[in-house]
Amino acid sequence: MLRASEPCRRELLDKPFVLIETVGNRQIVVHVSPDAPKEIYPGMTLAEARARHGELLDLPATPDADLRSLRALGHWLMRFSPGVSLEPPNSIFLDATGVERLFGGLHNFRNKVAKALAGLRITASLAIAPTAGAAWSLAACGKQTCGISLDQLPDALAPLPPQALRLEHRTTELLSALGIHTIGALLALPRNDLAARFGPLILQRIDQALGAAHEPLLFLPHRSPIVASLEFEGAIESLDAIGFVVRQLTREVAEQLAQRGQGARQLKLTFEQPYGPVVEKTVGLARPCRNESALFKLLGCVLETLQSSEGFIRISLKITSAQPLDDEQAALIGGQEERNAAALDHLVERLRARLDCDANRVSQPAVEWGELVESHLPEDACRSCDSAAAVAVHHSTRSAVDLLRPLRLLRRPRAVQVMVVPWSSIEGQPISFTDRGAVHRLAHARGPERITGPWWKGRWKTRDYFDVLDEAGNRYWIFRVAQSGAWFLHGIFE
Amino acid sequence: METKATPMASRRGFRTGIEALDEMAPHGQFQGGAVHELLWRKSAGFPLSFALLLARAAQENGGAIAWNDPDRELYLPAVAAAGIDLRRLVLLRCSGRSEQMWALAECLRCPGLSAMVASVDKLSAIEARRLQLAAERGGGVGVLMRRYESRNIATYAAASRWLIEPAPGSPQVQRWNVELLHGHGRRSSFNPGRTSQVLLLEVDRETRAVRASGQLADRSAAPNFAQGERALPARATG
Repeated sequence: MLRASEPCRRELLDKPFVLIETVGNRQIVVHVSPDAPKEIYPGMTLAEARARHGELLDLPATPDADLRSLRALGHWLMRFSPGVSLEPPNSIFLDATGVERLFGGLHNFRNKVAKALAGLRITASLAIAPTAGAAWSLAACGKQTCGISLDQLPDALAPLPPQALRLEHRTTELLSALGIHTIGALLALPRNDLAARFGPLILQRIDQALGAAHEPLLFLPHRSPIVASLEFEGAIESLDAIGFVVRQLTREVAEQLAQRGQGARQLKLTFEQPYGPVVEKTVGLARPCRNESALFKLLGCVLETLQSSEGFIRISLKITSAQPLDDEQAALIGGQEERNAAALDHLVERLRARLDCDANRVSQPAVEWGELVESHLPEDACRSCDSAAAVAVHHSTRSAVDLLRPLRLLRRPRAVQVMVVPWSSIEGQPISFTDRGAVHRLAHARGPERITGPWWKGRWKTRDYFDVLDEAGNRYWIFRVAQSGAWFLHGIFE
Repeated sequence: METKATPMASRRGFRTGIEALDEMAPHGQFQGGAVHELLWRKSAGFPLSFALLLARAAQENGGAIAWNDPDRELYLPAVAAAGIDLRRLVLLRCSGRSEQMWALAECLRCPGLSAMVASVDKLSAIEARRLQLAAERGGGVGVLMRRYESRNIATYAAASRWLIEPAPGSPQVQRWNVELLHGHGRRSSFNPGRTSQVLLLEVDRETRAVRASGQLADRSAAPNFAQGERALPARATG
């Protein structure tokens, strides 16, 4: 059994910190770092803790993320023992039965696990005992024991506090109020009365710790990665042959996915060349999928971007991310709308697979969505998102929807020469402008609409916008920088 | 195989809601499963407003729309103000010619998209035909903005071809001349004496209401211009 502490960050290593949970409008401390002062304890409010210790760092508690990382750590620990069971929030049981023959004794086993965890910079307390309950008790109290027998257990546990038995908080408080501070004292009490006074859990825990009752552990399912690969005697070059091989690999992978009831979210194709570097192509999917032909179609898009001078000697396909997929038939029995949504998702996947993998492409994503942002600066009023679900439903902000803005906004305003009404060159309305040699005589101008950048943006930031219509009927959005008097074309109402 | 839409159900045409314009279009509506070309002259600039009018009508018809905007110049607040649901607007950034043609065909082939808007310059007869076939399979509408000067005159695959030119406006309104240059399957009531038809489209600079103006247009083919007015729906209230 080992206890893993919260994942530590570099800046937290030498400073006391607390994890807080927001309940209503109160922030309650739920976890305190080991080096925090003694007067800070879980259950107090953050304000109170701050009052006692000024330099306290606080972070939000993330129980779900903690559980996820605990599960990931559990899967990682399967390299030491096939039986790994989680005990949230912060413990993991490893079944050490029989592993001493592999690792050369229990001591070696424990040292190897400790070293591996230290390599991950996880502070852990490890204890090995004949029962899971006893191992938890010993590890929780920092007694890094190893190789004690069942007969020695009562003696080993006797000096430990009752909290080490994984009791409810209420029970341990009651015990300490009654002056029972060790497990030894607890065991000395008459057994029949314990259950009546403290509930049935306490007897169960005592029996589990001492080996009188069996403690069922729920072991994590063993997950091997889904991989299919094929090696060739000589390098293959033709795209047809590669396509054929990838088709076969896809079939194998799809079968494995079907057996597990999962769908792929990310696939990685690896091509090994005889001398050159390994070529890797990754494809992401918008929704889990295990349909062989759909997957192959996606991979086919990737194959078109493949380049090699010498061919490949080994091709492998790996599912790097998978999700449970309930029923493949949903797409067939769903309505037209659902089918269309699925078709759109597949389209986006195909476009991304083909266009984003293209090496010649500059690093902008091929497919995007856009959302509105509240900003009075026209160029900051929208931004791109990478999925339709991420698009915020736009609130009817004045800046976003109500103002008259051109449909085409130049990414960089273009300098233009403007003639204004003669009697005032600073404040006047434009009467014509010259853009890249073409003269536009203006029939109507509306404005100015003054837009000022934020104060930290330097001096040339106050813009006076005019919505102008030239004699041909083209409509432009031009502005004058109030400080310098320079004119720019910013947008076109097309 | 990807899910195939039934060809009949997927052929969804749409009307823009501006009656004079719908009257002018072949079949009285913008035909689904087809490519429509919007031509513009170099002096004028892209017919974005007209494309947006079609895109919005297509979106109201259900389904998402895709817009190829390689230079990131399409200004989304104005697009949202014109009534487009941004969650159903897929922005493509395809700049290379070959990748753009591939992406356009993929989009048109997808039954989940009801319209695909892109600016394309040169289009060979084979490519035009390919896009047309893709649109027929997907059932959506392709809106291609093309330069008037580089249109193919001899070969022709689009269901309709429009020329959009700015017209002198007034302080209140911005105007365009919209001319139907060519359309497949014209209505029988269409006046055979004329080869083209012109409509003056107006947008109010303040309220963004789009309407067809009777001035300059052919009254015999489109009798009820006065009722053609219609305000864009998605203006924020308050």
